[in-house]
Amino acid sequence: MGGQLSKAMGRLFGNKEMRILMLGLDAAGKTTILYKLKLNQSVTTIPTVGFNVETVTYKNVKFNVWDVGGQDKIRPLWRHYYTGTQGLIFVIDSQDRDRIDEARQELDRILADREMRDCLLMVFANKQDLEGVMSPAEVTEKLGLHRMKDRSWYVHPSCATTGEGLFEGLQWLSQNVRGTK
Amino acid sequence: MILATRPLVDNEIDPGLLESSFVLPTHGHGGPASGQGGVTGEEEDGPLRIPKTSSNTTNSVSTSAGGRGAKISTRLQQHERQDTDVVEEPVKFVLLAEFDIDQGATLTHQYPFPTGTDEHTLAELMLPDGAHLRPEDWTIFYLNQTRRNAVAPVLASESPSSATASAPLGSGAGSGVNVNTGAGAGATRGEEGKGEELGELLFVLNCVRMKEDKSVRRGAMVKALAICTTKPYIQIYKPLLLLALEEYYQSSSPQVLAKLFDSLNNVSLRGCPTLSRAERIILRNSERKDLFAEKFISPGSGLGLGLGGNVNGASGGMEGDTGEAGGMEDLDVFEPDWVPEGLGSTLNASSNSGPGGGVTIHNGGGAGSGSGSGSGLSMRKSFKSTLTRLSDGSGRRMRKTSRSSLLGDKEVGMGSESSGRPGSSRAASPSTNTNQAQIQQQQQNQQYRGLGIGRPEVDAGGTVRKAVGPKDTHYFDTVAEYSGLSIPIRVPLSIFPEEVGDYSIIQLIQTFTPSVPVPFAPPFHPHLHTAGAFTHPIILLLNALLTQKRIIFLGHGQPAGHVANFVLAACALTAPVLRGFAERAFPYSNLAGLDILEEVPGYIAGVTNPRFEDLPHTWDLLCNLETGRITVSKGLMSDNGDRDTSMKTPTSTEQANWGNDTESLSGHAGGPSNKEMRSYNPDTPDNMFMEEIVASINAHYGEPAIRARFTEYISKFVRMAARYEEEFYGQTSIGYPSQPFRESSLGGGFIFPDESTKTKEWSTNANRIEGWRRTRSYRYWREDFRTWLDSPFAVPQLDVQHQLSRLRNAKTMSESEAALIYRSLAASVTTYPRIADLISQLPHHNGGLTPIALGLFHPSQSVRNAVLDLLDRMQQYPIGVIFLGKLNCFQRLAYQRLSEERETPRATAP
Repeated sequence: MGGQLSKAMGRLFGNKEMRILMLGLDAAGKTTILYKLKLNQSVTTIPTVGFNVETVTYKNVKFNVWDVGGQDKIRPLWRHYYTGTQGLIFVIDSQDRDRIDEARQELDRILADREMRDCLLMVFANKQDLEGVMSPAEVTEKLGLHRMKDRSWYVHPSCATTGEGLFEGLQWLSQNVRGTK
Repeated sequence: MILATRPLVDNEIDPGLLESSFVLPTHGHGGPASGQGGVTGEEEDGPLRIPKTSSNTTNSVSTSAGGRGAKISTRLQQHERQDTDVVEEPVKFVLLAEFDIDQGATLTHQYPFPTGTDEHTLAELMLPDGAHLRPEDWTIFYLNQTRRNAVAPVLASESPSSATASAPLGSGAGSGVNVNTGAGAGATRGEEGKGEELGELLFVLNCVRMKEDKSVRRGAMVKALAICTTKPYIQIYKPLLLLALEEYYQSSSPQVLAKLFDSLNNVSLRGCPTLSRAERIILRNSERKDLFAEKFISPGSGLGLGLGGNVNGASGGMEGDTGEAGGMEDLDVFEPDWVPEGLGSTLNASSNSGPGGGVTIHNGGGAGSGSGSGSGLSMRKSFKSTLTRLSDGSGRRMRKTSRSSLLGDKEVGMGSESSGRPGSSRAASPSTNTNQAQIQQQQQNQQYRGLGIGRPEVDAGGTVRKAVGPKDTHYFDTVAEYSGLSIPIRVPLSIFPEEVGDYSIIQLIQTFTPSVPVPFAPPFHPHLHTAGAFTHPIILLLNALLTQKRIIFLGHGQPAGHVANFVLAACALTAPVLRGFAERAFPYSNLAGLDILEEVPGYIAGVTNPRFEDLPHTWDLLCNLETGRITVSKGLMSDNGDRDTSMKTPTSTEQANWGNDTESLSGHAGGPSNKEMRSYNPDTPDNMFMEEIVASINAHYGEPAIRARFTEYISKFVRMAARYEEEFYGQTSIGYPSQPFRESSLGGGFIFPDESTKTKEWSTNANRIEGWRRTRSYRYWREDFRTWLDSPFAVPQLDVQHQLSRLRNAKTMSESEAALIYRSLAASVTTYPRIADLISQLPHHNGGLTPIALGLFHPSQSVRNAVLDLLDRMQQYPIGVIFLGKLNCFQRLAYQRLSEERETPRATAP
């Protein structure tokens, strides 16, 4: 009851709620992004066992961000988080050229799921502060995003430790989410 | 029924007693034990008898009971064999999982061999969500619940006995006749399921630790160590798991697993008493720390002796009226109460005075015969002194005496003298006994060495007085040896196979009881909202448990171990009356376990992932620990509880009933919601029950008291369900037929005090009874009830519980009914199991033996005599003595006076 009421109020005052799922290979920087968004602090993270979930409010939009561990063996669990997801943040370690193809495969697999067909795709080309990293354009190309016709996607460079580029990503998500909710 | 006890005078063994204690871990056949027996045998002959007579006794039970015990005795024998031949290892597997920073959750080692269940799922359950957030956490989950989490057949083939024979769950925790009830979970599930053969349920306790370490990549390590055991008291293994995991962090060697495995499986349970179901109920309902102390035996003496002590006690009791030359020390009557303290001293014997330890073993024997000797003339005498002592605060003083007697040679002699039995030399002199004691002492020491355990030194350095006896008979104290450390371990004795781990029902209740009643919003489910909008949340939960709904406890951000305890507590709400809950419990689960959950109808799971909240199609009831709110899934509402298709579909009559009941319920629920929506409706029996519970908790009543109330509640529910079946289906197989008292036949079953109560109870219960009738726990109960009727604990054709509730609650009762009740009880409650069962239904918090003792004031002389007989019989057993001691002074004096009156004519007659 309370939830419905606040949603109604939200509509009245332009507040939105968005459910975001943040995925990516292990050590891409998902948890660091989450806590930078949440606390505006650069925290030292250790590998996530299971998940982290936080609510981040940015410009009247409440982002409910789920950050799920990315190691090989636990990726099959990602599917349990698909239902109801409005935006997918896929985090790429821009320095990890060796695994960019692995990342592409995982991304394709996620987007192939029925539950994810209407979901926005936001890619962070993370770790831009490091030397010799892939540019956003390179990441876009390597992920084969240009082939995606029927989905809104956006690649943005980011640096999780400094927070550069993160809120631009949220901005894009909130602007493109359908006003269905 | 008298047959069952009398023919055994030759053997001097009470079958009942043997039955109740038959599960004791060994039977005097074992090497060291029989050696021990030999020594004593020269003197006393008692212990040596055991192996010989035990089988006789078992046989004679079945014959004398006219075949009714046949099934049981086979089981008993089976079980006996199992106990002597197979030393059961409580811990079946040790597992180690690590969170690999590249791979994720990984099962690194399994010992002694792979479980055969999915390794990744195991690893996920061992490394709970959020394990990276806290330095330490615990998870609990089970194996062998469905085919998916069943261990590989390699285990079954290794120990076929444990898979097929009687007591999967109960064997070690000791189940007595409960073997048939508490046990069989594995086997039965096999029979009933879709042809699946599932082994014994394994309880997994897992310790997970996160250690930050700047020297490793990504700065932290998360490792988890788990043990899979058949014992429900998993919490006792916690300290060892911590130690071993720490060691693994240091060494990363799989040897740690082997070491832990061996250490846990070598924890000595020698001398650990096995209590029957009735005995355990008595124990759990009492706060006294000395109940059944006589059943504790020294680890060194082995079972031969231990059982000997027991049997002597019993036989003493039984042979009492064969006119044993009595006149023993009055003290003896009380010995059972405290002897074990002496016995216990041998447990810690190493550094303590030898003689004390040894000699008390004789006291064990003596105690029994002493009390037995009472029955004749001498009994009167002892009995009088009993009362005198009882009336002045008894027990405590007695124990003091006993302690001093351990120290004084003279008194030791006295104690052993009293152990004389008719056949044996009563003249055993103090000196012989002391010698004997020393011999025994030595042997015990040798045995310790032989076992390679080293002597337990829990109480090393303590005085005799301090070291004496089990500190609290609710537990069996032993030690585990790990890496040269001796870790004390307390095995709880009063728990049942489905009561797993360490939990708090009080915490469960407090978490989900709102300070101000919050009405549930419609729609209402007929099984769940038994009082409409104002159903108490705990009752809602209980209803969901009874009707086998899918229940999730969600504790986001909380330690997995904390959440798991809520599941354990919920499962324990219905124990020990009903079972079938542990097998569908998943104290910790997560998304990786979702597939398994979805296979289990009516699972009860604990999770920390709030994602489950978003998946309402996977559960029926969600209990949120953070908010204290219970949510019923909208999905459940729409299909009206008929989700479980594997269950038998209701017959047409059933459906007809069902419809009516639903209507009447919704009327009931709808009424107040329209007129007086905001007013709390405390009028339903359930709400009153919960008010009482909450009041008790607020008054700081302990866990056992609250648990006892729930046991009563569930037991009442089951009896009411039997009545319901009779009323709506014509007959019942889950309880005694209900009938009020008529002229010459006693009543039985569940009787409503009046019509309005009946209407009220039906409106609350009809729907959930219907729901329960389609569950596994219902089918288990039907089996258990049938088995119980055949057990030595039940009195054929007499619903003892009904009679007691009449004596307690009846508003009016004719003299003739009271007379018949007392006469029937006196005539039928003759054996130890039946006495134990009767006492188990007369807990202190319900007035103890008062309903029986009131019979001492019946106008008819013969009724009073019947009650005297019954009380005298109880008095032959230590537990009876304790309960008699709890009667109020008025009743005790009446007992004393009547006994004297009855004694006088007899004394003058010959």
